[in-house]
Amino acid sequence: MVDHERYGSAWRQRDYEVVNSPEFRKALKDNNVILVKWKDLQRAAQKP
Amino acid sequence: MQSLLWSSVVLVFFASTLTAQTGTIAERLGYARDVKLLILHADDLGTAHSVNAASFDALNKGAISSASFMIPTPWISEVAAYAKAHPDADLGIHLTLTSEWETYRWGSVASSDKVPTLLDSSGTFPNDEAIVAKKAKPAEVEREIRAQLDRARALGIQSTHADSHMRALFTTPELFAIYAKVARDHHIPFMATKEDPQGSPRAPLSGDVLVDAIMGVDPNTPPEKWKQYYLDAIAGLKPGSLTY
Repeated sequence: MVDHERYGSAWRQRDYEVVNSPEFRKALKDNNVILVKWKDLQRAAQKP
Repeated sequence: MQSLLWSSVVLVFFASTLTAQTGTIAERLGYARDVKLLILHADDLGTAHSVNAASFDALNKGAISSASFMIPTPWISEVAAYAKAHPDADLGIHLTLTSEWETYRWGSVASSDKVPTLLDSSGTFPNDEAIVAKKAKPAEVEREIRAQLDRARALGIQSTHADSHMRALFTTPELFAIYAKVARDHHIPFMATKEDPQGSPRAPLSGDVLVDAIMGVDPNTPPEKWKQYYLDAIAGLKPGSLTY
Protein backbone atom coordinates (compact mmCIF):
# COMPACT_ATOMS: atom_id res chain seq x y z
CA MET A 1 0.00 0.00 0.00
CA VAL A 2 1.01 3.62 0.17
CA ASP A 3 3.37 3.31 3.11
CA HIS A 4 3.21 1.68 6.53
CA GLU A 5 5.41 -0.95 4.99
CA ARG A 6 5.52 -3.46 7.83
CA TYR A 7 1.76 -3.88 7.43
CA GLY A 8 1.79 -3.52 3.68
CA SER A 9 1.08 -5.73 0.72
CA ALA A 10 3.96 -8.18 1.22
CA TRP A 11 2.84 -8.95 4.76
CA ARG A 12 -0.74 -9.49 3.62
CA GLN A 13 0.29 -11.61 0.65
CA ARG A 14 2.32 -13.94 2.89
CA ASP A 15 -0.69 -14.48 5.16
CA TYR A 16 -2.86 -15.23 2.16
CA GLU A 17 -0.42 -17.80 0.86
CA VAL A 18 -0.08 -19.50 4.24
CA VAL A 19 -3.78 -20.06 4.86
CA ASN A 20 -4.17 -21.43 1.34
CA SER A 21 -1.20 -23.77 1.61
CA PRO A 22 -1.60 -27.56 1.86
CA GLU A 23 0.78 -27.63 4.85
CA PHE A 24 -1.40 -25.25 6.82
CA ARG A 25 -4.59 -27.14 6.01
CA LYS A 26 -2.90 -30.38 7.03
CA ALA A 27 -1.73 -28.84 10.32
CA LEU A 28 -5.32 -27.89 11.19
CA LYS A 29 -6.48 -31.42 10.55
CA ASP A 30 -3.57 -33.12 12.28
CA ASN A 31 -4.02 -30.99 15.40
CA ASN A 32 -7.75 -31.60 15.74
CA VAL A 33 -8.59 -27.95 15.10
CA ILE A 34 -12.12 -27.08 14.04
CA LEU A 35 -12.70 -23.81 12.18
CA VAL A 36 -15.76 -21.99 13.46
CA LYS A 37 -17.51 -18.69 12.88
CA TRP A 38 -18.46 -15.99 15.35
CA LYS A 39 -22.10 -16.63 14.60
CA ASP A 40 -21.64 -20.30 15.64
CA LEU A 41 -20.18 -19.29 18.97
CA GLN A 42 -22.82 -16.71 19.66
CA ARG A 43 -25.57 -19.21 18.89
CA ALA A 44 -23.99 -21.77 21.20
CA ALA A 45 -23.46 -19.23 23.97
CA GLN A 46 -27.10 -18.18 23.85
CA LYS A 47 -28.47 -21.70 24.13
CA PRO A 48 -30.20 -22.20 27.50
CA MET B 1 -4.03 -14.73 -7.03
CA GLN B 2 -0.37 -13.88 -6.51
CA SER B 3 -0.93 -10.19 -7.07
CA LEU B 4 -3.68 -9.80 -4.54
CA LEU B 5 -3.18 -7.89 -1.39
CA TRP B 6 -4.52 -9.56 1.63
CA SER B 7 -6.03 -8.67 4.91
CA SER B 8 -4.19 -9.31 8.11
CA VAL B 9 -5.03 -12.68 9.57
CA VAL B 10 -5.40 -13.49 13.23
CA LEU B 11 -6.07 -16.80 14.88
CA VAL B 12 -8.85 -16.51 17.44
CA PHE B 13 -8.68 -19.51 19.66
CA PHE B 14 -11.34 -21.18 21.73
CA ALA B 15 -10.81 -24.49 23.45
CA SER B 16 -13.49 -25.42 25.84
CA THR B 17 -13.06 -28.14 28.40
CA LEU B 18 -14.80 -26.42 31.28
CA THR B 19 -18.12 -28.08 31.85
CA ALA B 20 -21.01 -25.70 31.98
CA GLN B 21 -24.39 -26.86 33.16
CA THR B 22 -25.48 -27.63 29.66
CA GLY B 23 -22.13 -28.58 28.17
CA THR B 24 -19.22 -26.79 26.63
CA ILE B 25 -19.44 -24.54 23.62
CA ALA B 26 -17.83 -27.32 21.58
CA GLU B 27 -20.42 -29.82 22.74
CA ARG B 28 -23.24 -27.40 22.01
CA LEU B 29 -21.90 -27.17 18.48
CA GLY B 30 -21.89 -30.94 18.18
CA TYR B 31 -18.16 -31.55 18.61
CA ALA B 32 -16.21 -33.55 21.17
CA ARG B 33 -15.62 -31.52 24.28
CA ASP B 34 -11.86 -31.41 23.87
CA VAL B 35 -11.62 -30.18 20.28
CA LYS B 36 -9.87 -26.91 19.62
CA LEU B 37 -12.16 -24.30 18.13
CA LEU B 38 -10.49 -21.69 15.98
CA ILE B 39 -11.67 -18.68 14.04
CA LEU B 40 -9.35 -17.84 11.16
CA HIS B 41 -10.08 -14.17 10.78
CA ALA B 42 -9.08 -11.54 8.21
CA ASP B 43 -9.62 -7.86 8.82
CA ASP B 44 -9.32 -4.52 7.01
CA LEU B 45 -11.94 -5.38 4.37
CA GLY B 46 -12.97 -2.23 2.57
CA THR B 47 -9.50 -0.68 2.39
CA ALA B 48 -8.84 -1.75 -1.21
CA HIS B 49 -10.37 -3.78 -4.01
CA SER B 50 -7.41 -6.16 -3.82
CA VAL B 51 -7.91 -6.73 -0.09
CA ASN B 52 -11.59 -7.42 -0.70
CA ALA B 53 -10.91 -9.81 -3.60
CA ALA B 54 -8.37 -11.85 -1.66
CA SER B 55 -10.59 -11.98 1.42
CA PHE B 56 -13.70 -13.00 -0.53
CA ASP B 57 -11.69 -15.69 -2.29
CA ALA B 58 -10.44 -17.08 1.02
CA LEU B 59 -13.92 -16.95 2.57
CA ASN B 60 -15.45 -18.68 -0.44
CA LYS B 61 -12.87 -21.46 -0.29
CA GLY B 62 -13.13 -21.90 3.46
CA ALA B 63 -9.47 -20.97 3.88
CA ILE B 64 -10.62 -18.50 6.53
CA SER B 65 -13.82 -18.65 8.55
CA SER B 66 -14.52 -15.00 9.34
CA ALA B 67 -13.56 -11.45 8.45
CA SER B 68 -14.24 -7.87 9.44
CA PHE B 69 -14.81 -4.69 7.48
CA MET B 70 -14.04 -1.02 7.98
CA ILE B 71 -17.03 1.21 7.39
CA PRO B 72 -15.14 4.51 6.70
CA THR B 73 -13.01 2.99 3.91
CA PRO B 74 -13.38 3.63 0.15
CA TRP B 75 -14.26 0.07 -0.90
CA ILE B 76 -16.91 -0.69 1.73
CA SER B 77 -19.71 -0.76 -0.86
CA GLU B 78 -18.07 -3.78 -2.44
CA VAL B 79 -18.16 -5.52 0.94
CA ALA B 80 -21.84 -4.68 1.23
CA ALA B 81 -22.49 -6.26 -2.17
CA TYR B 82 -20.60 -9.39 -1.13
CA ALA B 83 -22.53 -9.58 2.14
CA LYS B 84 -25.80 -9.36 0.26
CA ALA B 85 -24.77 -12.15 -2.11
CA HIS B 86 -23.37 -14.31 0.71
CA PRO B 87 -25.76 -14.04 3.67
CA ASP B 88 -24.02 -16.91 5.48
CA ALA B 89 -20.64 -15.20 5.45
CA ASP B 90 -19.33 -14.32 8.89
CA LEU B 91 -18.66 -10.60 8.57
CA GLY B 92 -18.04 -8.39 11.57
CA ILE B 93 -17.42 -4.70 11.98
CA HIS B 94 -13.79 -3.63 12.41
CA LEU B 95 -14.54 -0.50 14.39
CA THR B 96 -12.24 2.21 13.09
CA LEU B 97 -10.73 5.21 14.85
CA THR B 98 -7.38 5.38 13.05
CA SER B 99 -6.18 6.00 9.49
CA GLU B 100 -2.64 4.68 9.21
CA TRP B 101 -1.65 5.33 5.59
CA GLU B 102 0.09 8.63 4.97
CA THR B 103 -1.60 9.60 1.70
CA TYR B 104 -4.61 7.30 1.74
CA ARG B 105 -6.92 8.40 4.47
CA TRP B 106 -10.40 8.20 5.90
CA GLY B 107 -12.33 9.94 8.66
CA SER B 108 -15.42 9.71 10.77
CA VAL B 109 -18.88 8.52 9.80
CA ALA B 110 -20.40 10.87 12.35
CA SER B 111 -20.42 14.53 11.38
CA SER B 112 -17.00 16.03 12.07
CA ASP B 113 -18.45 18.72 14.31
CA LYS B 114 -19.86 15.97 16.54
CA VAL B 115 -16.55 14.11 16.97
CA PRO B 116 -13.79 16.78 16.84
CA THR B 117 -11.46 14.99 19.28
CA LEU B 118 -11.33 11.96 16.99
CA LEU B 119 -9.98 13.87 14.00
CA ASP B 120 -6.67 15.46 13.07
CA SER B 121 -6.17 18.86 11.45
CA SER B 122 -6.97 17.36 8.04
CA GLY B 123 -10.30 16.06 9.23
CA THR B 124 -9.19 12.42 9.11
CA PHE B 125 -8.50 9.92 11.85
CA PRO B 126 -5.02 9.98 13.41
CA ASN B 127 -2.45 7.43 12.28
CA ASP B 128 -1.67 6.08 15.72
CA GLU B 129 -3.91 4.47 18.33
CA ALA B 130 -1.90 6.18 21.07
CA ILE B 131 -3.29 9.49 19.84
CA VAL B 132 -6.80 8.08 20.19
CA ALA B 133 -6.02 7.07 23.76
CA LYS B 134 -4.68 10.53 24.54
CA LYS B 135 -7.11 12.83 22.77
CA ALA B 136 -10.42 11.10 22.09
CA LYS B 137 -13.32 11.97 24.36
CA PRO B 138 -15.12 8.75 25.31
CA ALA B 139 -18.54 10.22 24.48
CA GLU B 140 -17.34 11.00 20.96
CA VAL B 141 -15.89 7.52 20.57
CA GLU B 142 -19.24 6.05 21.49
CA ARG B 143 -21.01 8.37 19.05
CA GLU B 144 -18.68 7.37 16.23
CA ILE B 145 -18.76 3.61 16.71
CA ARG B 146 -22.54 3.70 17.00
CA ALA B 147 -22.60 5.67 13.74
CA GLN B 148 -20.42 3.01 12.09
CA LEU B 149 -22.77 0.25 13.24
CA ASP B 150 -25.73 2.23 11.98
CA ARG B 151 -24.03 2.73 8.62
CA ALA B 152 -23.33 -0.99 8.33
CA ARG B 153 -26.99 -1.68 8.88
CA ALA B 154 -27.94 0.97 6.33
CA LEU B 155 -25.64 -0.72 3.82
CA GLY B 156 -27.44 -3.98 4.46
CA ILE B 157 -24.58 -5.68 6.30
CA GLN B 158 -25.62 -7.74 9.31
CA SER B 159 -22.54 -7.57 11.56
CA THR B 160 -21.82 -10.92 13.18
CA HIS B 161 -19.29 -9.51 15.66
CA ALA B 162 -17.17 -6.48 16.45
CA ASP B 163 -13.45 -5.92 16.75
CA SER B 164 -11.16 -2.91 16.85
CA HIS B 165 -8.84 -1.64 14.11
CA MET B 166 -5.29 -1.32 15.45
CA ARG B 167 -6.79 -2.16 18.84
CA ALA B 168 -7.58 1.50 19.44
CA LEU B 169 -10.52 0.51 21.64
CA PHE B 170 -8.18 -1.48 23.88
CA THR B 171 -5.94 1.45 24.70
CA THR B 172 -7.79 2.58 27.83
CA PRO B 173 -10.28 0.91 30.18
CA GLU B 174 -12.81 3.62 29.36
CA LEU B 175 -12.65 2.94 25.63
CA PHE B 176 -12.82 -0.80 26.17
CA ALA B 177 -15.94 -0.35 28.31
CA ILE B 178 -17.59 1.62 25.50
CA TYR B 179 -16.61 -1.07 22.98
CA ALA B 180 -18.20 -3.79 25.11
CA LYS B 181 -21.30 -1.74 25.90
CA VAL B 182 -22.05 -0.83 22.31
CA ALA B 183 -21.51 -4.41 21.09
CA ARG B 184 -23.80 -5.74 23.82
CA ASP B 185 -26.42 -3.15 22.87
CA HIS B 186 -26.29 -4.52 19.33
CA HIS B 187 -26.37 -8.13 20.58
CA ILE B 188 -23.14 -9.06 18.87
CA PRO B 189 -20.00 -10.57 20.41
CA PHE B 190 -16.92 -8.36 20.69
CA MET B 191 -13.50 -9.82 20.12
CA ALA B 192 -11.55 -9.83 23.38
CA THR B 193 -9.52 -12.25 25.41
CA LYS B 194 -10.45 -13.45 28.87
CA GLU B 195 -7.67 -11.33 30.35
CA ASP B 196 -6.99 -7.65 29.81
CA PRO B 197 -3.59 -6.42 28.55
CA GLN B 198 -2.35 -6.25 32.15
CA GLY B 199 -3.21 -9.91 32.72
CA SER B 200 -6.23 -9.30 34.96
CA PRO B 201 -9.32 -11.39 34.30
CA ARG B 202 -12.15 -9.57 32.60
CA ALA B 203 -15.63 -9.69 34.10
CA PRO B 204 -17.88 -11.03 31.35
CA LEU B 205 -21.60 -10.58 31.38
CA SER B 206 -24.02 -13.33 30.46
CA GLY B 207 -23.83 -13.94 26.73
CA ASP B 208 -20.31 -12.57 26.26
CA VAL B 209 -17.92 -14.80 24.32
CA LEU B 210 -14.39 -14.16 25.52
CA VAL B 211 -11.61 -16.04 23.79
CA ASP B 212 -8.54 -17.81 25.08
CA ALA B 213 -6.06 -16.24 22.70
CA ILE B 214 -5.74 -13.94 19.72
CA MET B 215 -2.64 -14.63 17.67
CA GLY B 216 -1.09 -13.07 14.62
CA VAL B 217 2.35 -13.04 13.10
CA ASP B 218 4.79 -10.36 14.21
CA PRO B 219 5.50 -8.22 11.12
CA ASN B 220 9.21 -8.36 11.99
CA THR B 221 9.19 -12.10 11.34
CA PRO B 222 11.51 -12.95 8.42
CA PRO B 223 9.47 -13.89 5.34
CA GLU B 224 11.06 -17.34 5.15
CA LYS B 225 9.78 -18.09 8.68
CA TRP B 226 6.25 -16.87 8.07
CA LYS B 227 4.62 -20.22 7.40
CA GLN B 228 6.50 -21.86 10.26
CA TYR B 229 5.08 -19.28 12.68
CA TYR B 230 1.57 -20.37 11.79
CA LEU B 231 2.37 -24.08 11.77
CA ASP B 232 3.91 -23.74 15.23
CA ALA B 233 0.94 -21.71 16.45
CA ILE B 234 -1.48 -24.40 15.30
CA ALA B 235 0.63 -27.17 16.83
CA GLY B 236 0.81 -25.26 20.11
CA LEU B 237 -2.92 -24.87 20.65
CA LYS B 238 -4.01 -26.61 23.85
CA PRO B 239 -7.47 -27.49 25.04
CA GLY B 240 -8.31 -24.78 27.53
CA SER B 241 -11.36 -22.99 28.74
CA LEU B 242 -13.92 -20.61 27.39
CA THR B 243 -15.89 -17.99 29.22
CA TYR B 244 -19.20 -16.85 27.90
